[in-house]
Amino acid sequence: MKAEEVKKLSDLSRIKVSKQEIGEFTKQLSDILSYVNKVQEYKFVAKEYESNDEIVKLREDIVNPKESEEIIKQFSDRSGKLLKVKKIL
Amino acid sequence: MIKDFTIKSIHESLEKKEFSCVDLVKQCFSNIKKDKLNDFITLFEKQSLEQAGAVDKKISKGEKLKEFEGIPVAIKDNILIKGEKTTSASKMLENYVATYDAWVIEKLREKGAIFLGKTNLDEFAMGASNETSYFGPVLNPHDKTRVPGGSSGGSAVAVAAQHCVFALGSDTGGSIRQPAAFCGVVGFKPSYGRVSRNGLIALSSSLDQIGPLTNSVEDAALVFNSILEQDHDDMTNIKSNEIDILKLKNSIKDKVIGFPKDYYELSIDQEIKDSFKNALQKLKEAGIKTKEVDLSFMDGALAVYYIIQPAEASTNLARYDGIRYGFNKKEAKNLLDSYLTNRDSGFGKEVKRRIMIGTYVLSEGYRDAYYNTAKKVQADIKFRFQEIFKDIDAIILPTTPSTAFKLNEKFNDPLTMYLADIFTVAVNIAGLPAISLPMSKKPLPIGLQVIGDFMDEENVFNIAYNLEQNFRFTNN
Repeated sequence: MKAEEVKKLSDLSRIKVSKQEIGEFTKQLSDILSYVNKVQEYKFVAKEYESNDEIVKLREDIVNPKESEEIIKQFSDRSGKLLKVKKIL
Repeated sequence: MIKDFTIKSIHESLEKKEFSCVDLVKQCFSNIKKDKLNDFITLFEKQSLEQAGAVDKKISKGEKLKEFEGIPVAIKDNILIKGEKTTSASKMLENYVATYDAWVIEKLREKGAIFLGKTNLDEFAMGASNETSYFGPVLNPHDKTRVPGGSSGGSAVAVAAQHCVFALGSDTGGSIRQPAAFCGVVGFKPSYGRVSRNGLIALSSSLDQIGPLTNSVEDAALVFNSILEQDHDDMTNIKSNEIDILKLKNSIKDKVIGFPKDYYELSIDQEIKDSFKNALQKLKEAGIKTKEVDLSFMDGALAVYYIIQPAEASTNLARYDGIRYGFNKKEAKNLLDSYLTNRDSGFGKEVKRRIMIGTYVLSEGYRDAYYNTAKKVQADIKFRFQEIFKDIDAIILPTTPSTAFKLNEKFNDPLTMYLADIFTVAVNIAGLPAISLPMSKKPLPIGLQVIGDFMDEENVFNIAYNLEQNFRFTNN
């Protein structure tokens, strides 16, 4: 892994990294990725597998107004019940 | 001084009025403050003492206590308690107040448990040493220059140092069992899906499970029983019955116990090898059948783990942008800049590393080679365990390859730190139940792990109980 790739990754991950961190992470991430690359050498024993398609179930989306109040209290910036964010551009 | 910190013994003493519940709770808080092990992030001193006072009144009236009434309990700070700070040991959630109780908290509350406070952990449960916490490292009570293990390091220390009777932790790759082994206590991870994750701050949703850290196998079984009621808000939660506590005491003479055939060749500390060999010998002498099993795929499981877990962590932690809740550095220029600066200042290095690894293994062009391959290997590892459990009732092996290491020893070398999980992660990859119990406690504790087949907790507890009781591995 190269320094430019780490920079690209940090942008994709929405994480700012300093120049010093890029150096550190380049070495560390390379080590970790070369270790986990062991999965390519894994020797499979099973002929077939149980289906991996787990059934995705969703619970009903019920609004709890009392809980909403509590959640709104955690907003870092707000106007009444509305969440304020920085301008997009 | 109160000595035996187990649920039954504490209850008996309270009911016989050998000490009051207020005295018990006061002793816990005074030990916490005196020992300075940094195992708690938040303490609920006032509420706990009020609750203890109410328990004493009940006892004086001769009323029967509920299952955990009067029992001081510690909760890992990634499990939500309504109205209290839940930080996950991150600056990102330093001031976050939980808006609801986790399912397991509701269950313990119903049974009267006294929550003493929230315990320290590795930031977002990412670590094996409790050194990545924003609130500083936790110290091992057996040797303060050593780590307690992680990520449930605070919970393990709280139990080991008699700061509480039992604690809850969470285990994604060994985060209950490894610190339990390092601190000389019992730590249990249930089968995946057997305990609701509702209200647990997610690290890796397909691997995370909540479980107890206790001073005895019986206590671990009692706490497990009390939290496994089905929760319809966690769609992966499986309906299951409580285990029969009386059956823990059954003889294990008819059981077959597997052990890794090449364990003496594995890179493990010599003292752990010796301790394990001794345990095996004792089993054989007691006439219990043992059988060699092939666990050579364990390093494959570790590689799978460090792909799937960061992949899920990177998606789970995408929600922390400091806007709806969490750390917010107000001076950002625009929306993108606020994401970047909040996440830069709010997350520690290990969290950043894992988010980046996760982003990498899920990205277009690398997903097949890493994430998709890891999922296939995971299915094969599940199959291997199913085959192994056709002939045996449980597997035993050391919980960790080393005893508690020194503070800072592995902190700057993440890959070496990851290798500390080598004996515990395969269990999570296959969704199995496993317990760690102390084999010996001196000079440093050594843990023995008992792994069972999926949903076969009863066997795990039965075997672990017999190991603990009849073989006297512990040298208290």
